[in-house]
Amino acid sequence: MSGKENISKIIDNMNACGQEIAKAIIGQEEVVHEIMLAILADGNVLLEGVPGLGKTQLVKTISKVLDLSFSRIQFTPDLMPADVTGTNLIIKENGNNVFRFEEGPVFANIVLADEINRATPKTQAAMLEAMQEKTVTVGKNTYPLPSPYMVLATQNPIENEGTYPLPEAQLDRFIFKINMEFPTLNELKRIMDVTVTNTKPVLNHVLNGSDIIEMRELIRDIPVADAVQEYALKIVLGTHPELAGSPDSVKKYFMAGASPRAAQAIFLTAKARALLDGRYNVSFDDVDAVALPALRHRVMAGFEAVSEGVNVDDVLKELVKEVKQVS
Amino acid sequence: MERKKAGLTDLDLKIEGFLKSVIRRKTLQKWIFCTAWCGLVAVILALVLNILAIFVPVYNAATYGWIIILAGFVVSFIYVAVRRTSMYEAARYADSAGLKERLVTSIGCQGYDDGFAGLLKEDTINEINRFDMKFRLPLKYPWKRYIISCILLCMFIVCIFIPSQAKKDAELIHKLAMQAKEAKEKMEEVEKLLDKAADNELAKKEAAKIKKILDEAKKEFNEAKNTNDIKKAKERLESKLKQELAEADEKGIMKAAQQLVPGTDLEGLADFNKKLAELAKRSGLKGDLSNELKSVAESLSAGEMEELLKQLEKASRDGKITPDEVANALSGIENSDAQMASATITASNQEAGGAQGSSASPSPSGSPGASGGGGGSGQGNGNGSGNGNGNGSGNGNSNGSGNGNGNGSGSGSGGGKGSGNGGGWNMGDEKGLERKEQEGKGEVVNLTGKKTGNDDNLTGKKNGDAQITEKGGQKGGASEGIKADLDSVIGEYSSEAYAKVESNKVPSAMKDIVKEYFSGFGSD
Repeated sequence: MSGKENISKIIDNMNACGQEIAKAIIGQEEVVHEIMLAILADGNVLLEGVPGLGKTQLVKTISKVLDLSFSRIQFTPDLMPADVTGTNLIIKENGNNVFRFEEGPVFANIVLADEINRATPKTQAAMLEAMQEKTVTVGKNTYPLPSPYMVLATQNPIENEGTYPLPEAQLDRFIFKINMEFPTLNELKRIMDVTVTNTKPVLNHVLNGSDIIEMRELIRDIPVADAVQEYALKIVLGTHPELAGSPDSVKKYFMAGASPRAAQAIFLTAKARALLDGRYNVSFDDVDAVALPALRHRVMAGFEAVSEGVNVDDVLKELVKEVKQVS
Repeated sequence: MERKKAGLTDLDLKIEGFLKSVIRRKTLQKWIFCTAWCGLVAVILALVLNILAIFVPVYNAATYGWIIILAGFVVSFIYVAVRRTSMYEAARYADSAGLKERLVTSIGCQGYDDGFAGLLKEDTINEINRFDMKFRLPLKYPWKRYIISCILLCMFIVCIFIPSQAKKDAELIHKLAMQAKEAKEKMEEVEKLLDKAADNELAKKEAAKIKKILDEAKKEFNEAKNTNDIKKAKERLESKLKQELAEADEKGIMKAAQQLVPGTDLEGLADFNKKLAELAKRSGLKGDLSNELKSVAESLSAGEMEELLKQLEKASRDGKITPDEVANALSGIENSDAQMASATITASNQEAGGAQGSSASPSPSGSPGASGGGGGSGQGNGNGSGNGNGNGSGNGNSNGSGNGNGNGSGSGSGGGKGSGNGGGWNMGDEKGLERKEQEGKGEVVNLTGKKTGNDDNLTGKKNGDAQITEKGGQKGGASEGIKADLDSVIGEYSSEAYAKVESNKVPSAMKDIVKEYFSGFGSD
């Protein structure tokens, strides 16, 4: 099969995947598209939205469509790290007591970390290695996680009592933070049609693990023009208030900027977006589209932003606009 | 895996071909904007210049305005030519019109032909084939700027045709500058020739004298305010040079300076002066008559000078040359100056019969800025025949202690008393110092062929054989030390001068000279 046919097949598969998800998830096309980009870019996603928007449902649907193993961890304040990663158990084997590693729920292709901010930081930190290294170390042993691997976490932005905000190190490990918006009237009507009737959508497997791995490798080869690269990097650098070239709004409202991981996230997801759009190159529009979900959780809003109720997204939009003008 | 770069592929060449057409379009667009800007700026500058020219003298403002506008267009051409659009810029330009960075990425992949590079280029060419350049990259015209430029251009053209005093002044100033420049160039040329001609001590001395005259003339040219000043400075220069060169011995110097006094036979004049001096020595020709003849000779041709000398030679054979004989000799020559001089000498003789002296030389009255009138009467010692010459010098006081020198000659009979009237230049300023020529404060005026304000020019001996009675001179126009503009006082001066020449017993030729002199101011 030629490269072009291969790519066409990927594009078709991804489009089919989107259509299958749409059967169970009404609306939220943008969110679904962004999750697809994160899957192709080999990243983890943090979904934020008020309860009842279908976050968990969305993740479950994706796992079904992708024909991948799925596990769910309900994060609670009393959840312990070993409950996530797994632990060594003493078992009797041939009359002898031996330690055997019992894998935790983190050992699956797609892990749903539901309400991740309800667990203590200690438990949250148990996910760090899994999310970045795709391994779990217990005792002296390191266990690889299945490939492809991704964590889809959810969190509630309103409820603060009994929650533990995610540390920066953990947030940085999510390629995207996707905000789920409330559905429109039409979408809501369609949701009712699907959820309060006996009609259950039948979901088919469209992609498997090896397809996804192949796509991830292919995406990395997509060329990016120097101008586009420079543009993306300028956006990342622009989030740093301590740098001279950053806009005034960033200097005023941000306390810390995005890490180099943010640049990697932008590049990879922009490439994925270009490919899903049927192009073999990354455009400025691709960068613009992925900049916000890739950066919004990586910058730290300062006191003034909090006190003035300034939205991080607004500041980032202004930054992108300013960098575009200069470029 | 490291990719290997090949040469430009067919796909690359197709993309480059498209980019070249984009470059042409972008260059055209750039030029449209650039001309609009440069044109607007140029028209504004031209308009400002021409509005200024209505109030301030600016020579050729209209021409400069057009040049500025033309320069604006030239600058726009140069700017566009210098800042050529590169392939990369063209690619960015086309990408911004919907090609989604395909071109700029393709340029980055030039020479590479592996998987994605090849796919990208094919995709780019497909997009290019669908790309309607005229629709996607339309030429934008800055109509607003064009309209503003046109309006300003119309205003500029209107300004060109608005008449104003400043525009007339600008023309005059330019004319003046050109005249002064021309004269100075000529003088510089002559100075060089003088340097070449000064090959001995005598020539060096004469050259130095002429250079001094030239320096003074240059100064006058620099200080000249109008064309009349230039004209007068030229006349003065010619007069001074004639006087100087007529006494020069060096032919080389004469030749070098000849071009500053065109139409004058300097060599002939010098010969005439020499012969006249010899004749005066032999025949007792009086100094004043001799000087008068020298002055007249400046306007005579070589033939006329020869004729005059012949007649004087003839007269000298009978003994001493009398003023009547000189007058007769002059009247025989068909030259208006000679006729006038003859009439003057004749009139002087007639005046002498009435024992009344009048000024032999038509000395000019005081300058409009500050003049002093001096009157003097002289008592001459009678000789055997009862004729006497009187010399008068008068002091004219403006305020302070200005001195006026007057020329007077008279002849008396019997008692030998004579009286002379003289006019002199007031050389004093309000502080009692010698007046230096300043702009707008009066000036020394030379009448061609006449000598002024110098003791050497006086006939007779100073305080010699004449008893001099000094009269207090009338105060000049600048009494109380007021400095006045020439134009504001010339009318008063003229009428006063006309009245004076009518009331006194002045020869008619002299009256004409005075009238002509003052009418000359009026004509400016």
